Amino acid sequence: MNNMVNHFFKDRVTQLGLFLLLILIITASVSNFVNSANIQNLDNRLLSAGESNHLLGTDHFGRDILLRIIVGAGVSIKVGLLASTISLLLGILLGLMAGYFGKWVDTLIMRFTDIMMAFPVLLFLIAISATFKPGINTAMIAIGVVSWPPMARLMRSQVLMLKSREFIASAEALGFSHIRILFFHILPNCLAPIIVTFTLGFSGAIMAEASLSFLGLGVQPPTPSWGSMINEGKDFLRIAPGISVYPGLAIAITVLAFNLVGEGLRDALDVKLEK
Amino acid sequence: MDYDKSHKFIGMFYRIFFIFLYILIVGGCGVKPNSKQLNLIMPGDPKNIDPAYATDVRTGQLCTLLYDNLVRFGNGAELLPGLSESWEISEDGLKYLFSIRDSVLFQDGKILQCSDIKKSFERILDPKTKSHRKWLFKNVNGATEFSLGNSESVTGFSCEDDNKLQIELIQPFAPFLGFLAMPSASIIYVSKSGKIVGTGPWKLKEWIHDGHILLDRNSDYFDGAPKLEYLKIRILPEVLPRTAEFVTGYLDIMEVPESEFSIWSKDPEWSPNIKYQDDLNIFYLGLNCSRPPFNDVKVRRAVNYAIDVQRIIDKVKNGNAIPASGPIPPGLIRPYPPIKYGFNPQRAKELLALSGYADGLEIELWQSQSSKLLYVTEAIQAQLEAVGIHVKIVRNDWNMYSKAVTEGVPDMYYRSWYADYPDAENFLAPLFESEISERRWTRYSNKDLDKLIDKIQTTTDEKQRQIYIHEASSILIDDVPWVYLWHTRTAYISQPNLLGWSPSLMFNAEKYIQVTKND
Amino acid sequence: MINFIIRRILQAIPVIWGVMTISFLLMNVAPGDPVRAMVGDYYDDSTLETLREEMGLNESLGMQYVNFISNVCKGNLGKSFMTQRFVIEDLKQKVPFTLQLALGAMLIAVPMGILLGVFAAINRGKLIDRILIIISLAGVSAPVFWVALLLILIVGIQLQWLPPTGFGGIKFLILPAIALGTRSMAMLARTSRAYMLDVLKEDYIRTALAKGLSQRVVLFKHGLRNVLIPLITIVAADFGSYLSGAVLTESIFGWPGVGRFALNAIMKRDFPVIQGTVLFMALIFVLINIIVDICYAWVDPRVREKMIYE
Repeated sequence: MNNMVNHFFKDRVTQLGLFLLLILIITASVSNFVNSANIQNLDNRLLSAGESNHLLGTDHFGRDILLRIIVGAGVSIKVGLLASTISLLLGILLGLMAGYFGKWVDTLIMRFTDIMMAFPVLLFLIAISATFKPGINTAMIAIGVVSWPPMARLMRSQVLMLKSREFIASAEALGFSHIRILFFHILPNCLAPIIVTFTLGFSGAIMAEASLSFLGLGVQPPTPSWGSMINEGKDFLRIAPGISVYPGLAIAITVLAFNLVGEGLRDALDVKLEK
Repeated sequence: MDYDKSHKFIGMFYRIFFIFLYILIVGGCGVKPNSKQLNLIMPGDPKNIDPAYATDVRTGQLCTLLYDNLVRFGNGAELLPGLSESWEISEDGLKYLFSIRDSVLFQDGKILQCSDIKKSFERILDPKTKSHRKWLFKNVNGATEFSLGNSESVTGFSCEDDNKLQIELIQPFAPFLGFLAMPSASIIYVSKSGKIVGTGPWKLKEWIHDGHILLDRNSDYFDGAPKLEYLKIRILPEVLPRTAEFVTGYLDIMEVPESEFSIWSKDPEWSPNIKYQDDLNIFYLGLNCSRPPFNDVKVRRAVNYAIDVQRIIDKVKNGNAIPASGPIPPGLIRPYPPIKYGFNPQRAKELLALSGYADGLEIELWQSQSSKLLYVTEAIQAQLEAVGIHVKIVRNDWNMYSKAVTEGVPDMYYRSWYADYPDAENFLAPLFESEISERRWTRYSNKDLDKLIDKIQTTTDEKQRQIYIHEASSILIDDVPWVYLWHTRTAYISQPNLLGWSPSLMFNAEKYIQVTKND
Repeated sequence: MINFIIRRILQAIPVIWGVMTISFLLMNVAPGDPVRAMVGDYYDDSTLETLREEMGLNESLGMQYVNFISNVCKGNLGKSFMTQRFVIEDLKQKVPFTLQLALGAMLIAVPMGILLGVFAAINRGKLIDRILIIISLAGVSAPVFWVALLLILIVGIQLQWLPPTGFGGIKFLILPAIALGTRSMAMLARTSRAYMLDVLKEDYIRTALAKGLSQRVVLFKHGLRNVLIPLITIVAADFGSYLSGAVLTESIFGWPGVGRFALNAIMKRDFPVIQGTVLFMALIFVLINIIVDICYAWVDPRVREKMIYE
């Protein structure tokens, strides 16, 4: 255990990821206290970075870009968290069932997974959001509902690997109920890959939310979201590029952070598995 | 895979790749746009090229290029001869006699005759065609019977000979001539293979949907072949690519995007090439007059007072709009009535208190999906908030929005109305007439107004019409079923080497015949 | 081998059926009236009703479903609500454009990605390696639509090195292909770097290098062979997503492909178009999976054995 933790924290690249993640979490928490991100000031439109106390300038409504990015951080984390959690729960549940019960349950669930994966992800998200009143809640649920296949597949393969092990056989012999076995014996042994997949999936969720908001289907105005900020700024790229550029950087850095941490976890935990 | 083969293969692959890259880069440089081609854009793909279904602006603009009408719009609101060289209208306003030009050819060589025109108009009324533009000819004698399938042809259209068309109306209708210049009144015939053929200055060569439309000039065009040989219309919904194409010389004419207006107008190199055109439209907030809070005229007036229209124009529209006093744009109502409800938040609050809303009010403002509309609606939201009206903005795609407005769902909706034809009647009857109008979305109803509208439609004396128009406008300004926002002014920019073009008032006036490039 | 292919195709059919059914259900759950899309502003109720009748929207859901499936089997994907053109015709026009874009993106991503990855691996630990790592990380994290906008702004408008938008020649393809391919390129760079590093550690490589064989030869022959399988996986997955319509890229660049077609249709509730494009994409997905499996077999003899005996 010690070895693993050491390995994880020592890696330079992972350190960068953790650092960025820390900044992100702080920003997201702070965002709850920011009230003035939506206040318009039509006299101060389109200011450049550094003018009039606006560190990153203002947008076409005179709203401070930096404040909106901060609030946007909170939005992204919230959406990412909820969507990833939904996808986690669905994925674990379906994967466990498929792997453990086998036979027709397995076939049914796996077919269903194949079908879900055959849908082009973004279009599916757009279709769901456009169908059921676009908004932040719809986006969260849609992303969650669309992202579970990889987790399900992972869980299934994990279960298959473990099913043949002795401790499962003995648990069955002892007469433990299926549910007990699934949740108390199998699941705890899969934690490592679950955590890795969750973390890597988080970045996907953030990107998906940004794409939806860019199309006007995710977070609705005036609530800031990095994706919708890029959309709003795209007509002003020649006048005030910051409106689109800064949120884009924010997305890139956030996604990067989750990817780095996720991969760091994967390396560390893989090391453990090898031993 | 065999080791040696794979090695050779990979090596070759890289060599090819680098050659390829070189070609790409070299190929990308130094290609100039064709100087005999006019490059335009449209923000979306036209739905089709059939005049019977020309319900959107883009289809209409395409129809102007491919086909001709009896009469056409000039640069402003005037009507000029088209396929008809001259016309006479009888004293009672019921009979229109058109002299058709001789030797006009359809693009496939067939000669135009009066019977073709009659058939073209009847096609719009034909129940089998299911056109949504039947109303263009609803006043023509025999039109209703024909459109119900009860007669073989429309008696109101008669051809004395190949070059004389007479149209007879049931009752006088002042704007009728303007109707004949609309896209759905384009003269076409349907060939045996089902293809639609017209007489227009441009022939359709290629149409890649959502990509571009390529047109070649019609050298046998009756009014003289277009000076340029090719016309390309690129479909670009986004602003940045349009600007990109213009700046790099691949686009010849474009509307200056509102968001970039300050760059263009301040640039000494480009600003001389900006041309302005006042538009025939009205942007407004429709108010649902059938239920609280807007069934109370005081509340409607309060909202009018609460909005600082000039400020939104200055800040959001770069000054390119005229504040509206009523629904009818300047030019169609002379003189233009003064603004009655200037920005006065104090008065607004007073009126709200008088109506029982001293503690504020919550309403929904509906708009369609486009995020550009938010520039305006969010500004309005903030201004109304300042007098205690809390606004929730509801966005929906166009279909849902349109349906909701028709069904009277929103309290307030942001919308615009563009002229179909340059007559004040088009800003009154379709929008406010309470019996026949299909789009009386505000549910506002005023019998006096209806009577005035009827007179405006049937009176042929211009001076008398203007008097009625003013009376109608006063009623609407008093009762404010809408918040009248502005009439826009569009800024266009063209390449400096483009000659012979200036913007037109009507969306389907320009045929690009006289346009050339100076190289 | 043929048996294997046939089995895979048969397995794919229920998947495609499932996709069609889900999209059908989704469309019919949607609020909003598609008939309006066709009619525009001026309309009367009788016209609406006749249209509804014609489009078969008045029949029961079950009946509509049956009609739908049988039409698809006949190859009739219906007519767009908006334009009244046959969906199949429009798809025929647009699919080649999306294919072009996908191929373009692949042609940029694959060689560049592998090159960069290998290069980084060889120079492990040096500055250039670190820089490449960061660039590839950025490539994976930057949103596609943001990259596309910046490309138009910087390369198209400010530098004017390439035409910013347009289609019809290779030079127009470059910017959209870069925007689309960046992510793949970055992923490939990282993967090939990782695998290359593993390979470099192997004894037999060290031996070969010690024996004096040229570095390039050794790397290409041995290193890349190992990379091929994960590479194929990544390339296939990405190619599938490109064909699914680089929705955002096509919209921003005004590229007349399937992605944009589908996006507009969804926004306007043009059911036949949505269903047609979804079917197309599912078919591509399935096709790619089959091809990928065949490639695995070709590359890795062990897999081939397994397949033959399946």
